[in-house]
Amino acid sequence: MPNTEMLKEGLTDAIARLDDEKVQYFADEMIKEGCSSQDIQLCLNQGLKKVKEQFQRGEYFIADLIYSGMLCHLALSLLTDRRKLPPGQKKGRVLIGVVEKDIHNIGKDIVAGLLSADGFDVIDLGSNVTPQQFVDAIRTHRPELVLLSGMMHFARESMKETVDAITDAGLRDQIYILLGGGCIDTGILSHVTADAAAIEPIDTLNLCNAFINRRRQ
Amino acid sequence: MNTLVIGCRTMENELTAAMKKCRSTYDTVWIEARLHNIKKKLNTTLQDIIDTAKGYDRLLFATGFCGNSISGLKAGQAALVFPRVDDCTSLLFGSCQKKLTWINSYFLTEGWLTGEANIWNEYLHAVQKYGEKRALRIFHTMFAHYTQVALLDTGCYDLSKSMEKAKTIADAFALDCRILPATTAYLEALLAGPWDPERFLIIPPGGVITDALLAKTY
Repeated sequence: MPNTEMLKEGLTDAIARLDDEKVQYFADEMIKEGCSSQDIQLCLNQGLKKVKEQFQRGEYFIADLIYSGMLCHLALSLLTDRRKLPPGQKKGRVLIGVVEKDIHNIGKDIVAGLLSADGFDVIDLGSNVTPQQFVDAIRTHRPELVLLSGMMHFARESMKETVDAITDAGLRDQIYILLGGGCIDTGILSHVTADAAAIEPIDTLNLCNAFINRRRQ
Repeated sequence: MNTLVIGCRTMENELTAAMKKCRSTYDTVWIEARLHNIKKKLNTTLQDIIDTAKGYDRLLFATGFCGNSISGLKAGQAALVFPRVDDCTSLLFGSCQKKLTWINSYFLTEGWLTGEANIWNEYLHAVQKYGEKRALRIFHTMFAHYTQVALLDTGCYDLSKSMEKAKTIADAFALDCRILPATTAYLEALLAGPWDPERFLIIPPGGVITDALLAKTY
């Protein structure tokens, strides 16, 4: 097996086993080998999926889920530190936040980390962000992408209210809006008029890249 | 009318008290608290209960929408009745709006404290697996946006005993600790009927729960 394939397998496995030392080792080696950030993110995401499966089987606890997110941060921070892009060379500006009436921010933090590591300029508004705060932040920061995250039942309605507020403010045509988090299901886009929705962090990242590329064409 | 009640173990004290108050003798099936964390498993467990509930005309769910995990459920010969709340904490507050005024609170009752998957057991598991320093880091991340632990006083359990445990949790994660008033009134309304569509989602026999039906909460 080529070295990079072994490293990829090692990183995925280290995340799945929640082994911090091995996560650091394999992420470090992959960066040295010149693996793309996309490759590293794919491994992290595959590892996260395995953790989620183990949680669903009752083998892991909520603390383990959170720890797996922290391990992804660890790997991504290594990547960000080594491949820091100057502001002028950033891929595009992303505004991200957990919508109003929700404070579950772990998924949002993982996505923000992935985007930063992939060269996006990320403005993180935090959690329980009101529609008006999103509107104000769009006016201030002029992002190309706006990511609305949510976990709780109410988040779906807050996402709708946020998109409506952005539309009413006349800002909708300037941005792509993506939805993510535990409250997302296949029917969300029939309820909220966003451009796309994703459940897995890597899918959100891929969508952001696709939208940015579309804009640059 | 033959009625079956489906209750979650987290609210066993409160549902038992409400049934006593309503003099309800309905058959009752209990679902385990840990299912709350696993949407798919909760959904299939509830569908199994619906599918095997023979001889009943009505199933009363003493639960909430539980993270929309009830989406996709298909009624059999019996009608299904659900309180229009996101989860059981709103049910114990009496409405979602009341619960949302305490959005920065981590809610507890005796049911949540004694269940196998309770937060303190989770913490002890983490300490054993990761060591105290790392476990604390994990739990500080988990509680990053909470400011307090709130024990819901439903009047259905020994408050002082649970308060001691709630304080231990709050102290460990540097949170405030307080008691908030709660109620079994919503559960009583579920048991007693008739069901106001503003407060209850009613699915007729053979009906399916769609996401659109879950948009409105009380």
